[in-house]
Amino acid sequence: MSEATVSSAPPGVALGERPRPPASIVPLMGLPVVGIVLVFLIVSIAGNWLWALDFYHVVGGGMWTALDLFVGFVIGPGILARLSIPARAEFMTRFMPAMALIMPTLVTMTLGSGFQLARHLGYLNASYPQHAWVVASFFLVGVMAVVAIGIIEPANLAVIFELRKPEPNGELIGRLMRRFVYTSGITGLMQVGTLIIMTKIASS
Amino acid sequence: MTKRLPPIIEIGCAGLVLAIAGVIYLASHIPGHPTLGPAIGLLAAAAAVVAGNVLVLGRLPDFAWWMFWKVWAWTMLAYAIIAGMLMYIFIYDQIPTGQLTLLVMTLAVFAVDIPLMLAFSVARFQPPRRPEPSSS
Repeated sequence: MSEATVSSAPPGVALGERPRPPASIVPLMGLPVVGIVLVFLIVSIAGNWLWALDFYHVVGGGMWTALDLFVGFVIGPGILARLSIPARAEFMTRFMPAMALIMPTLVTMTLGSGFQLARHLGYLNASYPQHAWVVASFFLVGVMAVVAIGIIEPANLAVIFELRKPEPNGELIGRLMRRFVYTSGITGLMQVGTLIIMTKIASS
Repeated sequence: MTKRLPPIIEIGCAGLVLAIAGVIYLASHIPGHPTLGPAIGLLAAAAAVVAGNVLVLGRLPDFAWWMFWKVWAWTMLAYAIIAGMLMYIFIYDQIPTGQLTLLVMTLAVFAVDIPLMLAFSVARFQPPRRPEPSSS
């Protein structure tokens, strides 16, 4: 059985005077950007634009990896852990909603374009000499998907909603943030594994 | 106040692992025609696990259903957009009918599993009844 702390629990860590949470769960100004990115991805797939697919895959994958590593190894232990409690609360109030919008967009653009690229370039064919490496990358992506959907996103959403309560539970937020930051770092390291496979395939 | 809840997220992850394993099996054979038996078995197991999860969740007393359905609806909308894109790619790539059917059914299992997990992850930390809006 898993454990849940409901809102009536006394907060283990006081959040101090905290900023007012944004009116919306995710930053609404980012939605048009996400829409443009997704529409252009669909157009690129429909038009078989190899350059655009390559762009989406390389840029999306690079940003996804960099963000995961940056959050897991710089933001978490290097910055967040050294901030005062109110500063942490203010940072999280703005950072977590943005991540809820950015990460799924990066994942969709990287995987959607990557699959199409592999199909166009013949990497999906079982006769392709490096096919085993392609399947290995599927496994890595599968594990990262389970980690993202099962650990990172639930922690992200739970923190966003907890911060919107009149009296947020600081201990709960701290626990969820640690989970978010550390699993982001682990995903980032797995992304490096994917990059090794991708560069090996691209240079073969 | 601390209360114990069933491992909905963990069971949901097990369903995800089974479904993703089936997708990897199919994707590693595209554009060929693999034996569909292993993929069907994995998908059936994933569907059974997810159905069990729904049953366990549905029997929870004093749960913040008001928040669960709120998060579920928005997550479902986001999932529908992503699943729609995946469907578009599968159909555009003219994936053989048998594999296409399995992939669409896998998306359907994801459609139950993923919003359920995300909505539960928020609702578990909320009070069972919607708080009254403050007058200030």
